[in-house]
Amino acid sequence: MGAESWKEVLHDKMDAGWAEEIDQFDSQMALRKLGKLGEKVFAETRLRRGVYGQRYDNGKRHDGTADQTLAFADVPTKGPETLWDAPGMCRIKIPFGGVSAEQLEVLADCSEEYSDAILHVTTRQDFQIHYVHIEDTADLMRRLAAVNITTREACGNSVRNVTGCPLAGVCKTETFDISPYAQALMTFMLGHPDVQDFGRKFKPAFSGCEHEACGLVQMHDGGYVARVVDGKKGFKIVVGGGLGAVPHQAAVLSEFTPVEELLPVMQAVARVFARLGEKKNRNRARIKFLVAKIGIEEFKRMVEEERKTLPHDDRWTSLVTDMAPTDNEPTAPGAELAPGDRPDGFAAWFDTNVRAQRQDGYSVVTLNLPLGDLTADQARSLADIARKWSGDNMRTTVEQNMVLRFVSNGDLVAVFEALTAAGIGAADGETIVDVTSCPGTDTCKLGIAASRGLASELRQRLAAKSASMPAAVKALRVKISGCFNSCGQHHLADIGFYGNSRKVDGRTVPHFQVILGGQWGENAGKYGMAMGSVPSKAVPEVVEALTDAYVQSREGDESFRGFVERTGKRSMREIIKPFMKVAPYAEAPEFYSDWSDVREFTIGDLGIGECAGEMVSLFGIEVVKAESQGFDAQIALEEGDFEEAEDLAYRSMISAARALVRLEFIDVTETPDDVVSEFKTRYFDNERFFDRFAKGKFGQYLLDRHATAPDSIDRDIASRRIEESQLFIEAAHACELRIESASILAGAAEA
Amino acid sequence: MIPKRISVKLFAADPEAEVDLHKYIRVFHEFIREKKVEGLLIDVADYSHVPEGPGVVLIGHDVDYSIDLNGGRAGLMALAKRIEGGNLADLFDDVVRKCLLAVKAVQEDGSTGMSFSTARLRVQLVDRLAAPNSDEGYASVQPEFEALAGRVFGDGATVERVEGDEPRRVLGAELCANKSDDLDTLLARLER
Repeated sequence: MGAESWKEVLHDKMDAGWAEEIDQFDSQMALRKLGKLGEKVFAETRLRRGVYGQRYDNGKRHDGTADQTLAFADVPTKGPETLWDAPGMCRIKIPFGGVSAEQLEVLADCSEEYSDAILHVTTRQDFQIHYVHIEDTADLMRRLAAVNITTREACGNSVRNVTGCPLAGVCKTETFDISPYAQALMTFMLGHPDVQDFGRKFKPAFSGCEHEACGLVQMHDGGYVARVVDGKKGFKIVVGGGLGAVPHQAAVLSEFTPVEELLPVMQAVARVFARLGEKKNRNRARIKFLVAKIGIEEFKRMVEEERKTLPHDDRWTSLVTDMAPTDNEPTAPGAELAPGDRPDGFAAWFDTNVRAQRQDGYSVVTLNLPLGDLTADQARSLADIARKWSGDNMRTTVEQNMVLRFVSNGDLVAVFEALTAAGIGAADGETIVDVTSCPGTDTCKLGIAASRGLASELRQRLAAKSASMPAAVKALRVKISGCFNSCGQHHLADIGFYGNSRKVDGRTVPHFQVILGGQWGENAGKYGMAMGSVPSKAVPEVVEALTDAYVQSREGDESFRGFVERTGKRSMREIIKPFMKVAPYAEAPEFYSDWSDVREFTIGDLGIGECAGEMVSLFGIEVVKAESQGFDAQIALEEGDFEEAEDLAYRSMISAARALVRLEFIDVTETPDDVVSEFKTRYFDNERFFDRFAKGKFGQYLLDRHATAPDSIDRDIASRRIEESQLFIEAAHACELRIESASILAGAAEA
Repeated sequence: MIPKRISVKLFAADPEAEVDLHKYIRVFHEFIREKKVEGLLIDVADYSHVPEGPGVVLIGHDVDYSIDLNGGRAGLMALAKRIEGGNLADLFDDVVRKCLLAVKAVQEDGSTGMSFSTARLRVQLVDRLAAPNSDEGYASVQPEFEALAGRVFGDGATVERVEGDEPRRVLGAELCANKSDDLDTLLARLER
């Protein structure tokens, strides 16, 4: 019956180099199992092959009443605190989101045979599959490699997936099709020796347009915007953007770099980043910190010097000339959408999910994938639809959707019917209903709150109101991250959220920080600002209140960001303020668990849930001052008083640190030197303040600022300090919870 | 031929009736806490937002349990996923038993309002390398399916191939009883 192994079946059907690398990874797994390869070395190898850890892979999980041990085999480990048998996630690189029907079928098969039959589209156009066993990963890689897909460097400290506008090549406003250049950069950088020694990852993105959302280049480590100068194709290159805990806008490295210089310039950037980027402190290791530290002009000078020293590589030009088209020919000639009877739901779907292409008679069709998920069967149906109506090709999008391109308008009704039959014909694509979310606590080790659970709830509620929704509201974007790391891109949304927690009534309550007024257009031109945390279960009402206020107070065709700026933070906060309060557990227990999860909420899977009590802690009283100063800092920023904003943000960190210190040393003064000294001794040096994953990152914000006040303060510095102070305050909350949890556990042990 | 994965699905009594998937989130969390079904149980994955998807999945290390909506037919599916050799008949029996025990646990919980038909089981070999969905592939497993049908449903049980016209899907069959026995009877047959 079946053949012996995928290795034998597929060995000659993939790139020989890729085959060898996968075989090596297979060997490394065997060595690790024999104990002949260290866990840290193996972990780095594994990550560079796109094989991630997943929540609970340390073998610990809170089941709602108590910590439980998941009895996975404990030898060997896949990395520090990562057990071998614990399921993990595989990230699969899809350059510029381009995927063929054949590739999608293999992805579907792999999701079925190694995962839970779900393909998940990420906010960087990758696919992810979850709950994968480490020993299945080599065959998974082989099957993907046989259709020219790699997982290499999908994770780890290297060049990640090269993203690109999903409308490239068909967009009415683009300068030219960036897809072949995105592919060229991916081919050139994959496994390149100069990208193997980064302190952190490097995320590139391409845009065909300057002013649309396109590739969101302003929030990327490296961004490339198509430009034509004197009839010659090239790119504006920006570097040092990024979201994460502290968002940065990218700075311009070059207003125009001709296409034949694209690859060598990026090679030079990689060398400078590898040589000068932070290596020891991973929390300061992204290129944005290097660019901010030395300044864009110095960085530019160093790149130019580095470029001169590079040994010539023929691929600099060969990869960007005679480029094959990235999409096949359309299946059918362009046509008009014929008049006549239409199936139910077609009009609404056409309104939101169909966009005219540059090419007459053709449209781009958006598949509104709920939370970025589609089943293996749906993927196979989609492959059939792509073969029949869109020239065999599709693209994933950064909004966790997929698009079919070159659909003849004459075929739109048939495509709608086929998509609907497959369960992927939902309307409301790229509207407020189409909520974006990172995995959050569902599968991510860093997740604090259930971003997907919230997204699912919002999607359901908003979809029910979609038909009667004002157009201005429908056009808004909602994006959710499970923590401050911004994988859900909450900074770019009109209404964004990121997960955190607060202690109420002696228990931990899942919350989301509200971020308002991000700018999706202009390639992620501006980031939203925090307004305050609301309990997770109140978020749907918060969204309703915000959109109602927008509709009622909007002036002309004012954007949501414009509305937020005009209204001002103080008034915007008043809108969400009624939803901030959490009733005691006895009155509203539903607030103490998260969406799609009935367990009483905990952070870090610690046993906080048992901690019933009525008193407000000393910390709880003290930290309010810090939060108030943090908010005032935002007001000062809004009013253009950058020095005051920066100082208030700093003082809010001092207040939060003092709140912690007073738990142990009630008489500490308010003098910053005293507070910082006590904080450092009592919480930082002994790592009690350290987050399990971020380590000392947030505490360092205070120590650095206290040690060195900035010489001059502009908007960027003030904004950054405010972001830092918010994260510091969050970390103080988390630290206090850990202390209390440890105290409870110790008490329970004594009892 | 031993596949790496085997799934067994027992359909709802009315497989096209709407299922309140959110009730299963609580039920499956309780299954983990109380260890009410077999296997190393890890977490609950909510896919209720996906049309005709895996519904709600009780993720395990060696076996997953889900209220599966695939094909528009709701049912409880057990998926054995860490198979490393053995005898196919024993493996089949083990996965069917786990599926039936999970259904029994759901019925004992009683909060979901869902009832199941005990007259039909879908069995699939989720391994396109070892068990391709071809005529030849099916012919080699058909006797095993027939024997399993006899062991679970007794005399008169029949076997119907599924997805036979779709080589991209996994190889499988539906086993049909000629009369409907209760869960305990089916479990008792497997223990003999």
